Order: sequence, then C-alpha cells, then structure tokens
Amino acid sequence: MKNLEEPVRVVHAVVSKEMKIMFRYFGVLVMIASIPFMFGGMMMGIGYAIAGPSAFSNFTANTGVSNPLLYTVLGGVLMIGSMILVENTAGIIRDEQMMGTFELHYLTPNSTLMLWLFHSLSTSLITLVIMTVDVTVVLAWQGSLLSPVEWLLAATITVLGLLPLAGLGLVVAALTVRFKEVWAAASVVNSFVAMLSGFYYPLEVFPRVVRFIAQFLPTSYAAQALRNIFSGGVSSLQLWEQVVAMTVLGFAYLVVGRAFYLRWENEAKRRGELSKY
Amino acid sequence: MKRKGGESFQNTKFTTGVRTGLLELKAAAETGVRIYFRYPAWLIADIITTPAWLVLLVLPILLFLPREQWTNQETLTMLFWGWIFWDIVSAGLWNFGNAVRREQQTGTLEFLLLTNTNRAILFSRDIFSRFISITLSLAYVYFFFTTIFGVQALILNPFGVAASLLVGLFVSMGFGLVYGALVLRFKNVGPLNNILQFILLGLGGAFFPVTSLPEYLRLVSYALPHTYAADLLRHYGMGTETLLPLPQEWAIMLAYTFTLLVLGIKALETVEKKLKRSGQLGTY
Repeated sequence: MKNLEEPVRVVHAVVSKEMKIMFRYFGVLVMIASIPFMFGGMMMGIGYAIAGPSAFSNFTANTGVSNPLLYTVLGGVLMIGSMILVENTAGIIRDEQMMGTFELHYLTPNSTLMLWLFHSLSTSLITLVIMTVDVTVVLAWQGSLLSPVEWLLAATITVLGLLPLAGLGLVVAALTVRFKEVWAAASVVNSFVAMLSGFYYPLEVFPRVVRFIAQFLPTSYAAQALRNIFSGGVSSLQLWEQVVAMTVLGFAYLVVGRAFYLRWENEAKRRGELSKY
Repeated sequence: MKRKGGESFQNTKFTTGVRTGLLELKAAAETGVRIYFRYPAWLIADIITTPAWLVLLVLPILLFLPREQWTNQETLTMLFWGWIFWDIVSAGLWNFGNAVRREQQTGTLEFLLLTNTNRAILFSRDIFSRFISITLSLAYVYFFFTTIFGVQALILNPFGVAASLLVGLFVSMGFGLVYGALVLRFKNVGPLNNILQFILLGLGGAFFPVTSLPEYLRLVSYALPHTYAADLLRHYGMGTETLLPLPQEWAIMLAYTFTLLVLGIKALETVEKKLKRSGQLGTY
C-alpha cells in the first residue's frame, strides 16, 4: 500500500505545483486557449478570401468534414498541447539548472525521472482543460453540447496521444542539456511532430513515404480519432485500433525516453557533471 | 544641484546629436548580433524547421481550394509573401517588449535605465540581428517554397520589395515600442501582443488583398497601416494593383510610420517616468 501511496503523493505535489504556476499567469493560459481559434480563424479567413463562397464546400470535398471551425480548433488544441508538452519536458531540467534548484531534486527520495514525467502529466491535464473549453465553445456556438461519454473518450485519446511525447522530450533533454540550447532542439521536434501529425489536414495529402513516417507518431492517431468523434472525419482505422496503436507507441516512446535519460543521468553522476553547466 | 522631488528621470540628461545616436546604434547592433551568433543552434533550427512550418501553414489554406488549384502560381506567391510579411510584423512587434522583459528577468533593467541612452535604441538591439535572420530566411524560405510547392514565387521589383518590407518593419516597431512600454509597466502582456499580431495579419491582408473582405471589415482594414505595407509588398513582388495610387500609399505609410514611432517612443518615456516617480521600476 505504501508503495502506491508514495508515487500518488509525488504526482499530487508536482501537479498541484504546476497548476499553481500555470494559473498564476492566467493571461498566458487564456492566450493558449485562444490560439486554436486565432490560428484556425486565420486559416479559414485566408481560405475564404482566396477561394470565395465555394471555400467551405471545397474544404468538405478535400477533408470529408463539413465543419472547418471544429476541425481546425481540434487540430489547434492537439498541436498546442503537443508543443507545450515537448518543450516543458525537454526544458524542465534546463529551467531547474538555470534557477539553481536542479541538484535539490536529488536530495529528495523521489525518482527524478518520475518527477519530470509528472510535469508532463500536468501539461496533459491542462491540454484537457483547454480542449474541453474550446470544443464546448465551438459546439455551443453551433447549438449542441459535449456529452459526458464524448468527453471521456476525447480525454482518453488526448492523454494517450500526447503523453508519449514526454518520451521525446526526455530524449531531447538528455541529448542537449549539456549544450544549453534545449529549446532550439525542442523546436525542431515540435515542427516535425506538428507537420506529420495531420493536425490541420488529412494525412492523405502527403506522399506514401511521409504517411509511413506519420504512422509512428501517436499524435497522428489522436488527431484522426478526435475528428472521428466530433466531426465525423473519415479514417482507415477503427477507434479501438487507433487506441491500441497509441498505447503501443506510447509505451515505446516512454521506454526509449527513459533509456536515454537514465544513460545521461548515470554518466553525469559518474563524471560529476550533474551540476556542471 | 537642485533636486526635483527626488525624481531621477528629470535629472537624466539624455544624449542628443547625430554622432552619439550613431554610437548608441552601433553599441545596440553589436550586442544584438553577438547574442544572435552566440546561439548558432537557433539559426540551424530555424532553417531545419522552415519546411515543416511552411507545410503546416500553406496546406490547411489550400484545403479551401479545389485540388486542381493547389499549384496555382498566383495563390502560392501570395502565401509566400504573406509568410515573409508575417516574419517582418512579428520582428517589429515583439523585439522591444522581449528585450525589456529579458532585462527585467535578469535584473539588469535598472542599471540600463541609469544610463542616458535613448530608450528606443537601448531596447532595439534584437532588431539588428533580425535584419540578418530575415535576410537569411528570405533566401531559405524561397528555396524551400520552390522545392515543396513546385512554383517560383515572383519577385518583380527587388528594391520595391525591400522598401516595403522595411517600412512594414518600422511601422510594426511603432506598435512594438508601445508593447515595450506596456511590458515595462504591466510585465506580462505577451497575450495581448499575440492577439494584436493576428488582428494585424488578418485584417491587414498579409495573405490576401483586403478587397476580398466583407465591407464592414474592410473599413477597419483601411485604417491599419499594415494593409498598405502588405499591399505595396504584393505590388512590387507580384505586380498586383494597389488599393490607392502609389504616391498616396507611400505617403500614408510614411506618415503612419513616423506617427507610430513618435507615439511609441513617447509611451516608453512616459511609462519610465511614471514608474520612477512611483518607485515601481524594480517591481516585477
């Protein structure tokens, strides 16, 4: 019982600390929640200005979805969630180093790996809140509401799709923490995750080789699955198949991330480099 | 020395004259460029990520067109120039505020404000590195755009393009100075600037001529300086018709640029003065 109680306490501590920090900067939170609308709105506006009145019917013909607002907002929520998650996980060690609090974590009896992963969990929870608010706004504006079953499904898919990216964040952190430019590396990862996940377009627009690579991103399944739930997008996979793919990929990402991180940490401890930056 | 209520701002004798101004500009430029080249990973990351961001921006817009028009040269060139203009607008909007915020966070703001340097020049250092990054990005964005979308974006009049980009940058710097003043006063106002950026890009017709907007929005567009900067850019880049006769558009642009820069500098000055008077300069 005690074995289970301790990690739960650590999760509680990390998540409440992160939530306090995030809600301290409420304006930033509002901005993050509004980015899917701003970015989606900009795309729809440009699309309409260029294509004219047939813009939305063209969109339906190209995507199989008749609701571009919901489509772009869902994509935007996942994109912003994935970016924050990779950036936070990759940057948390560097942040702690810069504040001079990194070494203090080694004085606690907790696993540092778990500490960083729990930070990612907080980011996923924030994304869930943003997804709930943004999707509810769009649905309410169009005269419907999110049912509890839909929300539960969407929440599960969002967490399953995003949390594995913490593994990528750990790889970036482990590879770059000594070279100080963690955020530049995280930006590279983010740009390709965003492009290959199909947040704003169906992956069918890409050549076969790009689609093949996209299969290895959990976020590409999450984007498809969320669209299927809310806006009736067309997908070649059943929902359960997408969930299985995300679970398998999630496991693989976290195992790889853990291996990279522990290798860096052990090496740094051995050479006395943990506090050398 | 007669003290005026302990208000240090009134005792500050700001530098004047062309030579001192140029020296200050030189110092700001050196600092900005040194910082830029100290982090080469960012430059490399910018180049590597450009194709991904291009696809991410352009493809969703093309979804609103019939598939046979996805390779339309005019549309793609318009999106190319829109992309470049976005870079320019964001450079002008964010630089001053970011510089002020960085100095606040590193605890060096108060020391800088003890100097008699022109405040606008003091916080303009990133603009100089952005000149380098924007010039570089123009080259690699063009390369990637041509490679990915298979069309060569038009650059009919390079000097006209450079002039309209420059004036677009300066007019954005006017807004940027006001943002810098707000950061000095309220610290964390990034969200506001972000919203402003999307408004300026959307209603200023960065990616399309504002004539395709509904009439009630067009009225707002005509009041924005960015509308004319983007219009001039498309004119010199692609040969499109301008909204107003050319001399008139340039006159409007220059008047806007001058007014906004003066207002921005004044805003920065007023906020500094008020903060010094109320003792809030170092509160953040």
